[in-house]
Amino acid sequence: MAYPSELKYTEEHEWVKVDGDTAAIGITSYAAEELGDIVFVDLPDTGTEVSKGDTFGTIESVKTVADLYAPVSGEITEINETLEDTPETVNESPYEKGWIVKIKMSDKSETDGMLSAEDYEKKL
Amino acid sequence: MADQRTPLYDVHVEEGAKLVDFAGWDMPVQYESIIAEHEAVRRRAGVFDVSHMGRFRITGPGALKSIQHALSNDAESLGAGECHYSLLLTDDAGIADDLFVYSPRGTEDELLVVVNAANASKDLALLKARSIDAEWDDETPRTAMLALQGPEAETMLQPLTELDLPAIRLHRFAVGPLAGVEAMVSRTGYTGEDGFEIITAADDAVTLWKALREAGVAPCGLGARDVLRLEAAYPLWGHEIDENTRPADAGLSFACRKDGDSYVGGRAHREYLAAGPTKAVVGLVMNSRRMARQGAEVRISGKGMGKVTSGTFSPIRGAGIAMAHVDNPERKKLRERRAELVDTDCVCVQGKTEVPATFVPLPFYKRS
Repeated sequence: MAYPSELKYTEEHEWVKVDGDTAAIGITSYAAEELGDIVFVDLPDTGTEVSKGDTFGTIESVKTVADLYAPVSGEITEINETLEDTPETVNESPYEKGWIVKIKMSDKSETDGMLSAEDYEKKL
Repeated sequence: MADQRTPLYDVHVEEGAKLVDFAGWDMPVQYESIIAEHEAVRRRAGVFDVSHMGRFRITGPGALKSIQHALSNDAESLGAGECHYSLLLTDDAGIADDLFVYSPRGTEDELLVVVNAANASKDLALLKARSIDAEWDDETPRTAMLALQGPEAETMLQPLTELDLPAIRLHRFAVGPLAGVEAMVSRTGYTGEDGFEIITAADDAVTLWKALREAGVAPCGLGARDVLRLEAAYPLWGHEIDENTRPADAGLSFACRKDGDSYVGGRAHREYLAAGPTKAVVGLVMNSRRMARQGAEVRISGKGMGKVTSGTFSPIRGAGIAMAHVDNPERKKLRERRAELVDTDCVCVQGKTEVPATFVPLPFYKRS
């Protein structure tokens, strides 16, 4: 399984793509594979404030349900609305079309302690 | 890892299956995707390893009498090569297990039962305790069992055997060579599709699996099996049925004969059926793609009325589906209780998640 090197990773099997002060968030291919067929992604409204570690949504597969954790603090500025009708996009394209939310970070230093692709893969 | 493996374990690993512990067995939950495997079975054909299920043979002059005493359905009605669904009840008519009974020759001295893996050792102990003049033999370790399910099951299987498959009608079986190995082939299943279940020697399981795969049958895991059985509204022990649920609660009185004094739990079943069941197994469709899972509370107009027993996403309905136990305070007949609830809205509550749903008639899927 490939883990794009330009992304940062969390122990909760999420990835973060930093672009200025915005972080795009998704789940890793490992997490998508473990969940199996994803059939529902429950997302907050844009404008919601989250703190690092908060549960901001849930992701349901045929087999199980998992919480989504905010890897950084800030305001949710965008949600991936295509997941409402085609949640399987997360399985098909976890790092590109299957992104989940974008957060405008209130403290960019929160990404400092995150895992590199190499370190994340080692932890699996 | 679990401590028991079926004769097909190495094949599952080769096929890239994701394995999980199921009732102490390492079983494939999925190969590629639960949804793809579900579709294979609904549209073409899929094969499941169900070797973890318990296979027990009873032989001896008292075999049929013992089965009649131990189980709810009328095994005396089984001719040679016929099988049926039956229940192992507790003294007060709780469902200790549900199972299939096979009569190889229509004689009184030999029958085979196939039971749920999770209950196998409990069942064997109960069956032994309820037997006279007969011996039980646990054939599970030296046999394997495959389920070939789907609308194309018969056309894909026929080239592999000289058995006349169309002649094996529903709940019938035959023994003969299949892909060069000896097999018992029954027209039975747990998916809501046409298909067969095949029992063969443990050593022949890989040959049979590979022959079916070469014929174009898709490998399918327990994940897809659960979605398929739930769409067809087949109960699963430990979910819809258990020792605190009686046949009349779950629509299984059809498998209980009317002479209640002749089998364990029969009298309690008849009395309970006459008084009316206090709960009902019902169907729910979620108003979204969300799912209610086992244990979620079912609330009607804010009032807790029962619990979800199984829930999944149904590809056929494009929505979450569930079966649930709901109260039946007026002890109406199950059919009436189900009918009065149809189209009623409810909410399935699990933790802080609330999933709106509507009661619907069962099953969720019926093949055309």
